[in-house]
Amino acid sequence: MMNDELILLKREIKDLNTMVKLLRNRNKDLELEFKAIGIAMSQLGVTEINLLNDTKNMIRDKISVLDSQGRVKGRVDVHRYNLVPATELNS
Amino acid sequence: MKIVTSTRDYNFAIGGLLIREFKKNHSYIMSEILMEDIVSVGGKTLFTAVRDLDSGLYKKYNGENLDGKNILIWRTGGMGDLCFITPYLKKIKELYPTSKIIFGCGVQYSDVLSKHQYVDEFCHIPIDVEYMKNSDFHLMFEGIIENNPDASSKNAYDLFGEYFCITLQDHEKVPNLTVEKENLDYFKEYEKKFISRPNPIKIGIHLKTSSVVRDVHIDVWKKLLKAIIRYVPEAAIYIIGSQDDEELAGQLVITSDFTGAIFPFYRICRGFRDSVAAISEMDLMVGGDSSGLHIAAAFQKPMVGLFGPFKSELRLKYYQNAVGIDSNIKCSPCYLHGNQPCDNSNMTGTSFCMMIFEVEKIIDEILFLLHINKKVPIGALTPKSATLALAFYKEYFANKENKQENK
Repeated sequence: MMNDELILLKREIKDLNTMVKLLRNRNKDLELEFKAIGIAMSQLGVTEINLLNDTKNMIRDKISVLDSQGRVKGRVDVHRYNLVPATELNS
Repeated sequence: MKIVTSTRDYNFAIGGLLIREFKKNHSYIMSEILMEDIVSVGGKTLFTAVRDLDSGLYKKYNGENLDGKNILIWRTGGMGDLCFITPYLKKIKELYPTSKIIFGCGVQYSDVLSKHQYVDEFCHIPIDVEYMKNSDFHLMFEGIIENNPDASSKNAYDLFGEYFCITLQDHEKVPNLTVEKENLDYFKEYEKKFISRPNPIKIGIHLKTSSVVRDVHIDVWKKLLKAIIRYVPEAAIYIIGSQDDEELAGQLVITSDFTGAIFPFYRICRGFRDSVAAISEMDLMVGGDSSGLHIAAAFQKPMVGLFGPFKSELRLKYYQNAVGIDSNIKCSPCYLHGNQPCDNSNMTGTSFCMMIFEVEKIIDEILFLLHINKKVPIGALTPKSATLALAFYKEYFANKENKQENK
């Protein structure tokens, strides 16, 4: 999503419900949509959303794992199992 | 599971592709999902006498002496689940040499399992009830991983072992698979035709898993392939899978960045036996939580697995030189199964947990594993992978010395 489009969105947005509807109409790519929601949330200063029906709850759940930039919040953990040098294999 | 009797001869394409023949007046054991599929296409008149499987026909094996007896074993899951079963087939034959194993699985996996060295007779699922009647014992593993609370804390081999009532040593908990000469020749012919560089480091990539929930995001693969080409310039990267993977894998193959380094073996792959042969030739496998890793374990190939919905420990714990990279986000591990995307997924259905893998970390692990397997020199390592290698050798030799002293 281009920056000027985001600015335009920001003008049109009154609340998050409107924003979700607007984004739905503009974007068929949900990944972009959620990224845009994340960015718009940070621009609007919104930290939590309270949407009504189940579909919107799903969106709320999705947003809860995203940060304000639309990135997934989390880290990776590395686990190494039974390391053996090549010379020891087949022994 | 239900038992249904067919009212006429017909063929049905399971999953829309794989043809299964059904015979008039024969009874079959099938899942309710498959029944619904068949009814939706052919109507309710295709079956009569629908009844539950637990009607005295199913005689679960509970560790009895199998010498001179028949055991019918079947599983409706993917290739990974079948891999977990294979060491137990070997053990049954070791314990009870005169037993007869009748094995059933999906048509798509029959090329591997029908010729398995410990399978005496093969049948397709849905299982014809005649096979049940002619067997002394049965094992079907329904719900062993799906809807099983233990599946979130026990390794898959242990879950299957409990069901089999058979105990294996830890080192035995790896798939038992072999490569046929014909399939190996087919793979080598492919290499001869397309791989021009001498003695490349062969890295296999298994892009797709059997569930969209566990599929790694395509952008992770794109970044990872770029990084492999940069850090392991002598690598030949083989995309392993089936021709059905074109939609995803094609996105990598057409990218000019990878020309000359990436080889779409999946495009000419005729079945799982070709995949098994290809993986047996790799120096390292990278994949999501999928059968590619388990097949690699059968041939002691180092591997890096990318995990989200399930912890890597539950799948890789017993494999040698296995690295599991576990996504750790708010909702994972969720232990979700099935063919529907999870709630926390994007438009293409990729779970959020399968998007956040840091390519730098994956590359460090790849280089580290290649190094301890004598494929790349220490000079080719990144600082992090060199640190890993030094720490590994220090610990390894210290343990070795301790063992010698104790002797």
